[in-house]
This record gives sequence, C-alpha cells and structure tokens, in this order.
Amino acid sequence: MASAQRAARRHSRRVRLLRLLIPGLGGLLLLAIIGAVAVNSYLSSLGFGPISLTADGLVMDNPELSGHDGDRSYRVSADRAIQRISDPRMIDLERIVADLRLSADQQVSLRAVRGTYNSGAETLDLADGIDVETNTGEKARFGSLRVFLDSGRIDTDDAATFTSSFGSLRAARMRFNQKTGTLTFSDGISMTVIPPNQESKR
Amino acid sequence: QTFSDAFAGFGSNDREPIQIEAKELKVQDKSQSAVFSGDVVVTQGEATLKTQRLIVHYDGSAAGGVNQRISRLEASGRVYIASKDQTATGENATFDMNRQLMVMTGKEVVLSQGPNVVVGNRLTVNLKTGQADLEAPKSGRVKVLIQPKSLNEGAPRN
Repeated sequence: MASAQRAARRHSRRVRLLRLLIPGLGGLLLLAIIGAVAVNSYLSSLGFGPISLTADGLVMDNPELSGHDGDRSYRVSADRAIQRISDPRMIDLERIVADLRLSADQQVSLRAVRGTYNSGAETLDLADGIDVETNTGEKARFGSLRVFLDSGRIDTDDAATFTSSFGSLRAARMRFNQKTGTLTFSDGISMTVIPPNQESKR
Repeated sequence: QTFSDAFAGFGSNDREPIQIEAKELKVQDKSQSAVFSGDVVVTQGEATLKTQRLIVHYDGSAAGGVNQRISRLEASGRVYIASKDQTATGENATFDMNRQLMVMTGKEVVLSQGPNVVVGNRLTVNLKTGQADLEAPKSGRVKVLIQPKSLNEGAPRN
C-alpha cells in the first residue's frame, strides 16, 4: 500500500510540478529569495555571538536572524558578519545559510559563500557561488546574485542553472522582476525537458 | 504519392526528452506563458522545430485538472518544421495540444518530402495520425490532399 501512496504522491507531486514546469523552474526558486526579501514583515529576532572590533570592522560571530509569521518562517545565519569601519552601511557576510518555510509544504534553503549587504542602497550581493534547493527537489545554482531588497528585483550576469525532476535550464543571464512576476533569461538559454514517464524509470 | 506519417507524434510524443535552445526566455507567471525568442530550436527525437519566437501556453485552470500541461504552442517568424523525411516551412505555426492539431500558415507554406515539393498557404496536420492537408489560396491552384495511409513504394511502416 505504501508504494501505491508514494506513487500517487509522486504522481500528484509531478502533476503539480508539471503545471509549474517552466515557470516553476524559475519562479519557485526565486520565491525563496523573495521570501528572504520580505523579511521585515516577520516577527524577527536577531542574535549573534561575541562581537569583536578588528582592523576591517566590527565583527559579529555567527549572527542569526530568524522570524515566523503563521506557518511561514525563515532563519538566516552566517559564519561572520563584518560591518566595515570605512562605511558602516556595508556589512560583509561569510558563508550565508538561509532556510525558509514559505508554506506548510514548501521549504527552500539557500547557501551562499559570500555576501555584502548595503543598507544604503538596500541591496544584497551574493557571490562566489549560491545554491538554492527546495524540499520538492528543485535546485538552482548561481555564480552571483544581486537582490534589490526594496523592489524585490534579482539580477545576475553570471550563469544560472536550474534542475528539477523535469529537466534543466541553463542561462547566461537572469532578471527577475517580482512586481510584474516576470523572469527573463537572456544571452543564450538551453533547456532540457525530461518527459514524466521517463522520470519514473530512473 | 504519399507523405509518411512523419509528423505523427510531433509534440505529442512524450517518450523522448525535448531540447530547447534560444537567445532568450521570458516567463510570465500571471499569464501562464513562457516566450522563447531568438533563433529558437526545439528538438525531440527525429523532430525539429525552428522559429524566431515560440510562445508556450499552459493549461492555467487553478482548479488543477489532472493533465495540467502545455496546451498550446505558437511559433512565428521563419517557422521550419522537420520530422523524419518531411519538412514544412511557413511564417506561423500553432500546435493545439488538446486537439492534437498543427496549423501552419504563410504566403508560401512549402511542404516537402525528398524531391516532392508542394506549395500552399495553409497546412493542417493531425499530430496523432500524421495526416497532412495542404490548402492553396482560392486562386484556383490545385489543392493537394496527402493521405498518409495510401500505398507508397513499400515505405516501412513504423
């Protein structure tokens, strides 16, 4: 019986995902990042470890920001956050880990090697490799991402790769405009769509 | 003279992966559509579609019918379709996945198989049976109707 349920769940998951096919490959993952952008509307708590003052700035060890709003919640942490002495609006972050619950059955995790939050320009630049993954198996990998926290826009001029059980999409550049809900991949895209029944053979 | 059912299954064959290359892809969640543009090449098995612009429409009913999937494809701009030994070129082509129909239009829709070339202005292909109907403008030019199942020189049945 369990395998039938699993198959049924897989089928219904696949049907749901099939509907999201191309938009899903792009949109769903970006939802995660947008989830992070909508941080301020949550009840949030900020905690961090010892603070030290070093040559390059005020260093916070293991800063962690978390919050929840109904069944939506997020937790964002980093190994270190360094507020620059030269420009206190700039906070450099090392090894960012973000886990977001967007709804009861939709969780997304984001890992970035490095980031810089510019409170003046309200931007968050993630760099040196970003991995995003959802609990339903979609994955995305970016070289870098610029998140405009005020408008929710996300840009990258580095390669973006999306994979899911349905296939994969590779693009040289990406723009996501949250207001219009438009996701644009440009400078060359390549997409492979794996038909559903082949997927279950794997 | 017959055209094999080369076009049968184009777009509705869901066994082989589909490969899509293009310069740009714009996904609009609200309108449930994805627009590929710039030297778009779609390949699946032996079938190839080339066009300048391809709009993919989704069944959008939020009620979530069972077979939620691509409902329509609209290709425009130097549309070239090739499948097995048959090619068709025109200005626009639409694939209605629900009715399994492809309609290609243009001033000159050229359907060819090997040496045989027929020109009309509207080609309708039943994607399930592969039956292709090529219509010519009313200017009295001969209308060519191609029967897939008529006798042909022992072409292998596939």
